[in-house]
Amino acid sequence: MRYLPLVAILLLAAACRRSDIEVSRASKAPDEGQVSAMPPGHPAIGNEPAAAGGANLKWTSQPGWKSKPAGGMRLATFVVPTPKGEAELAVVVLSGNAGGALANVNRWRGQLGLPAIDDAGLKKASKTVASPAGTTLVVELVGADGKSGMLGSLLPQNDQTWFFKMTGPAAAVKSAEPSVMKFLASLR
Amino acid sequence: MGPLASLELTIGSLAALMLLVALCTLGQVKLGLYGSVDTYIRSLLVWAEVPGTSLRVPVFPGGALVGVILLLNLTAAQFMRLEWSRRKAGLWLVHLGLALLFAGEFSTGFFQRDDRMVLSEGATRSWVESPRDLELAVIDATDKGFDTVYSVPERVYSKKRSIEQEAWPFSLLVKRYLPSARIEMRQSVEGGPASMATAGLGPSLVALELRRSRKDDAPEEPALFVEAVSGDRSYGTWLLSTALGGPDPGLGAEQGLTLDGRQWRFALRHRRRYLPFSLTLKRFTHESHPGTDIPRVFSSLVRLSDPARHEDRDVLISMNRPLRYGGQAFYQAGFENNDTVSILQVVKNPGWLLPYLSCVLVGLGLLIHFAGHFWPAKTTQAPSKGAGARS
Repeated sequence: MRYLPLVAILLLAAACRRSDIEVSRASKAPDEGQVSAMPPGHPAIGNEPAAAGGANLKWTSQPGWKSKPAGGMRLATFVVPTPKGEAELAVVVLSGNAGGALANVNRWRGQLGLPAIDDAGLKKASKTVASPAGTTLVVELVGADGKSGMLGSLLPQNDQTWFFKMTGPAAAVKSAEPSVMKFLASLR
Repeated sequence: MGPLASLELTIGSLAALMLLVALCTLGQVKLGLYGSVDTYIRSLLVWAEVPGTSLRVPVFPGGALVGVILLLNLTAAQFMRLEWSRRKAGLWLVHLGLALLFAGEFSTGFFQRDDRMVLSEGATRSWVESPRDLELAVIDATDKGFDTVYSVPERVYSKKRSIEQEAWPFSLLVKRYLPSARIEMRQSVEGGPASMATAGLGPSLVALELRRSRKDDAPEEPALFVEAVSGDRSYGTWLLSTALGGPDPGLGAEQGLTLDGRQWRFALRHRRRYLPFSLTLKRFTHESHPGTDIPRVFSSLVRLSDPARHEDRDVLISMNRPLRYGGQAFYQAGFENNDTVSILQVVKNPGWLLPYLSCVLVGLGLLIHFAGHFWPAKTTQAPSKGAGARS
């Protein structure tokens, strides 16, 4: 009986557990510039049919570009030197439509602190590049800070979507644009 | 009360604390700093696995439990041994201050939350995330104004086979959990394992299991395969991973399904805590001393917006000037991405005042105690001083 208080403490310690699942309510409105956010109300990438594999694209690397070893979730990475600094081009391929052009462009805009746009805005802000592999949609973005730039492009092909995204200082991205256009035109 | 106030218990507890500190130091090799502190110091019991089984049994009291015993021991000894008189009032205050210091450490250990807010210039955030704890987030994103977020902690999805909630029209079956994984594009891994995933991004990717490193400077990227089922019907299996939230094109896409008109999203991510207010980073400043890389100033100019409390003002957060608001403190902790992203450490500690109060009490107690000794000593010394002068 002398050690009853100590035994009680031990039992309490063993029984002490925190709750399992917490539920909270998150406002959608004020959260801008969120890396993974889709436009409010956009359906998630879900149980649409998805096919793995598929034919690989081929391309012609541009003079001066340095290829980095493929790894992680990138199929290829190029370092693009320009007189205004270095930019980097990442190549990623996903099955299905990966959310579609508008959702992806808006996500890229969010990463640069820019507001989302609608279909009409996308038409205005984008251009296309024709290649033997198909038509690639290209958007050029300059961040809200005026410093960072992005040249994002996507090519739907069979049941896959290919992404080519160049990021870097805005001036370097602008300077690299003509060579990226040639690269996109070489897709086959 | 007798054994609780005993000196043997004090010595035994102090010895146990010393052993725990030694074990915690050695444990950092395998568990990392935070893992070891959580296992040995900020736990009520130290658990170990019975070899050859998955059964875990308590093998030693944890630092928190030893602390409680020591606190009770101190309190019991105080009441049993120290007389309650004006002469000892200072000592009572000192002991009360020490007890508060213990209480403050418990409050910090159990209730303090260390999170971070990563803000790029121009971005607004109304949530913070834990740099270490993860969650399986199941989000009901149907409503246009808000999301309902169900946060399933790692200790649940890493052990439970099936996760259910009354509000969900499905159960989530955990098909495979990889505590440390590398995600690769399927095209770049020849002969990679067939994917368990049938929906979302998973079929394009391969999750390769890695040996756990538990290094604090090399965070692991876990991966989780979950299947949404209702009765006999399967809605698909998704691959979720913290690695999928990165900036690479296409991979930040949220995954989930639409069921009976409701939109559900799934993510494995750092645990988020939502705030009733928001911060917008207007400008981040990073200046070095001329001709060196030694930082002189880091500061973030943020806009604090809290419509419920009619707050809408600019605040400058710098290295030693945190923003204290809503029961938490926002410290300037770091930056990245060519000085365009600011990282704020967000500390919520309901007992943050206790150490200060404790210091005041201990200081006051010592002052009273020594002042009580000083005055009688002065009066008794006075005659001898006079005697010295005469000689």
